[in-house]
Amino acid sequence: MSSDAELIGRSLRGDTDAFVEVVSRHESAIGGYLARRVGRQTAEDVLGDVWVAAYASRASYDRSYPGARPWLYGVALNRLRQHWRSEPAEDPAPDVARMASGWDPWPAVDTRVDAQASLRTALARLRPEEREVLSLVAWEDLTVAEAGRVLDIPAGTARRLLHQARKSLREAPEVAALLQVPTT
Amino acid sequence: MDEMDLMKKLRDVPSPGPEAYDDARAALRTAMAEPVAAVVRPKRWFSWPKAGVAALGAAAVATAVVMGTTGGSVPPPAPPAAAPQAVESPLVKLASEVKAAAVTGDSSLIVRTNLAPDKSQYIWYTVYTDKGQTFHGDSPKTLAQAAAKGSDLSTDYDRRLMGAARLAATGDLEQARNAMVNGAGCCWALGGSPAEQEKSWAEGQEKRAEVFRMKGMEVPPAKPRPTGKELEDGINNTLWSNTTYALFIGAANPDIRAGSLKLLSTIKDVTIDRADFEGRPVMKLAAGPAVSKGEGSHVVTVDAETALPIRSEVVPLQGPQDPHSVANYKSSRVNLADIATGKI
Repeated sequence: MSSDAELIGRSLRGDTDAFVEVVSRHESAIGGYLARRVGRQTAEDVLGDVWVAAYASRASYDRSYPGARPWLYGVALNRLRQHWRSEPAEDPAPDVARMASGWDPWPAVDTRVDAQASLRTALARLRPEEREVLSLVAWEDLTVAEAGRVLDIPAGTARRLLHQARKSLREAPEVAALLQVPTT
Repeated sequence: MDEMDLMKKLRDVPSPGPEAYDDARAALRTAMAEPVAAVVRPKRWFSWPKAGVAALGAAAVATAVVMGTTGGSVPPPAPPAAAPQAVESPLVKLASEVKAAAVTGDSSLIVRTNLAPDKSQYIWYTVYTDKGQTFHGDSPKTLAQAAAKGSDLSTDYDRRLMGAARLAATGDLEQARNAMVNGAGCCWALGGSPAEQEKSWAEGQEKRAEVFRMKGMEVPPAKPRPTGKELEDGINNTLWSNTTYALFIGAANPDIRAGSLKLLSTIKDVTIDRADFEGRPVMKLAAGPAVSKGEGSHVVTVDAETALPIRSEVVPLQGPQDPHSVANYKSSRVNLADIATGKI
């Protein structure tokens, strides 16, 4: 079976089906990633944009990496950043309330952790890049090095960020309490 | 159990449906079949007017000016007519001055600094090229990398709003207003038939219901399309939201600034205060509760001589001394080649 890198190479030579094959291999993972970050509805809205952006920028793909999934996560993250910045109004009132609040929005996360407000509080105190690495490792099952590749940072930096994130979470009183009490 | 186990408990969410994957692949195939249409702007995006430098004087206007009037409290039900701009509006006057400004470089660099809830700074760099490309980075280095790699993240949403702002600067204001309001793709369909407007509204209600379903909450009954003042406020909310966004992302382009100001001048519930900010004259444009449906106000501060956006803050009704969120902006004209080589 051809590697993702080989398929991307073929797509650069005009074989568009090859790129669709890459997409087919990773669409479930990327779809799940998007849904975890912005909810299913918005994930469905932006998924096509992710593929189009990936296709448009495939020439920049480093084909020394056989697997393209971390790269696709990076494309998806960039698309989400765009979405968070430009989220149009769907319901007038909350739109204005969110107007300038895009410093590091985690709307979907907030939704899911409402039942565990303590963990949400602790997560909110993490630095954005710490949360990115933490979520990529915890939710997407990436290695730390792969998370670094998604975020275009060295593996050592990603490792440090993950360490800091986990340490901060552990030391947060809210999380310490959660760790002592069984959660359901 | 450790903190990673706790995180994993948050992993399971409803995934996109099978149709969504089909639609996304179809979008990809469309883009692959029509690559030019997917990334190239209309030709006029390439030719900003080369105007001479004009003397920019501060507009002599009174403080706390309440902007123009729609000429009545109840707009026509469908489609609402564009509010006439105030003849002496300081925004319109400033727009005419901005349009005369010279344009240099081939791109606009917008540096946005937000304050996180813990008061730490979060800086975001974006370059919008005159060709319509968009490059982002959270540092000069990552911005340079994105530009060098050609990681264009422009969106149709951005294009629609920028186009509407340009039209407002150079063409029919009512048509531009409709385009700006409709730029979000939901829910007003200004300029459309009553049936189209109802359809667009219904689609918006369904999206709203889906959010409730995602949160596991009871879905409230769909609301009918508003009428009268409620309709006017809703449309003005969208107009304000989209126009200020266009102003922020297109700030370094005089046409975008001028068009945005003219569009904002049509919202009667926007107030203007003259003030000083760090030693320079500014205008503070505020969308009050009428525009934000009673959720506080959104205040946008622009330079009183150049209209470049300086600051954006959301102020809750209950605590005006403690804004919900604050973002500061710096806009400048640059050359993409310089950005790609790290010269910021």
